[in-house]
Amino acid sequence: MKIWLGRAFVALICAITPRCREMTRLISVEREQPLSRLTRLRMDWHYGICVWCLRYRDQLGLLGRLSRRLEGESSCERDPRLSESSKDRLKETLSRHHHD
Amino acid sequence: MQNSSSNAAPQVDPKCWVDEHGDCLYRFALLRVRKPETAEDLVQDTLLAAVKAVDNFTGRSSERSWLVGILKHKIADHFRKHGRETPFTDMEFLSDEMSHKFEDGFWNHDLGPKDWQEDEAVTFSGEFWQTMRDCMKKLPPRVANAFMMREMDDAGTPEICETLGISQSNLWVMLHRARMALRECLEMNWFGRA
Repeated sequence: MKIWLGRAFVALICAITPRCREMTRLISVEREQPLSRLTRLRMDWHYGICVWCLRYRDQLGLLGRLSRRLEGESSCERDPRLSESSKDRLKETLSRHHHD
Repeated sequence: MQNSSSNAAPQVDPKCWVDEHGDCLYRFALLRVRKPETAEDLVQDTLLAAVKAVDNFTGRSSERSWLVGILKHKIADHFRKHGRETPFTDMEFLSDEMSHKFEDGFWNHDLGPKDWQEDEAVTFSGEFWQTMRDCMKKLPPRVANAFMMREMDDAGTPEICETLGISQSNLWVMLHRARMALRECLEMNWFGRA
């Protein structure tokens, strides 16, 4: 009986909240503009029954925070660099313009 | 007064810029435009513009962030000039709805997001940042650029739309797909590794 009730509850939430595919779209849009109160409420109900969408939301947040750190984290050896010849060429071009 | 020399032109030696900031500017440009020659040209354009505008450099920001600021403008100009047509690869990428991930609109239970068991409190290694850069490179350049302008430069929707010549709804589709693909790539190559 309990299992049946639990399943019925989950089915009801599934029926009245956005599906996961739509949730992923909304989670992205929410990072661009505030959503309506009703949409947020329906999303919160969905999070209550769906660990995947909850993880998706948190992981997009982490992705954003890590992206902001990416430019500063360039200390690894495989990082591309300007070749010495390119640097010489740049210096030459610059000194030409600098003394114009 | 300590600032009494502020009227004099700051000590400028563009040759030092190349050694001190060249690699950083180059990496910044390369991540966004992909082609080494183009990235190099952008660095050159940036430094030339900087030489011309050096009187405007007040020293309020660091020299590095001043140069990066100019480079961002140069990159935006580049996309304005060259990035306005939507290549076929972009359309293919944008129309891929990752259907295999979902069953009837719900996560396929075996393919839904995994528990990453890591957060930003962890010190990420150089290897992680390289993985992240590799994941960015897998996105079509314009899509990657939209994502980077939004999440790395914190640019607003109007600015990105104007630079890339796209509508707001196009941009949101781009960002949605970029986020989904990057999340997936990081999970496959880093967080979800057994």
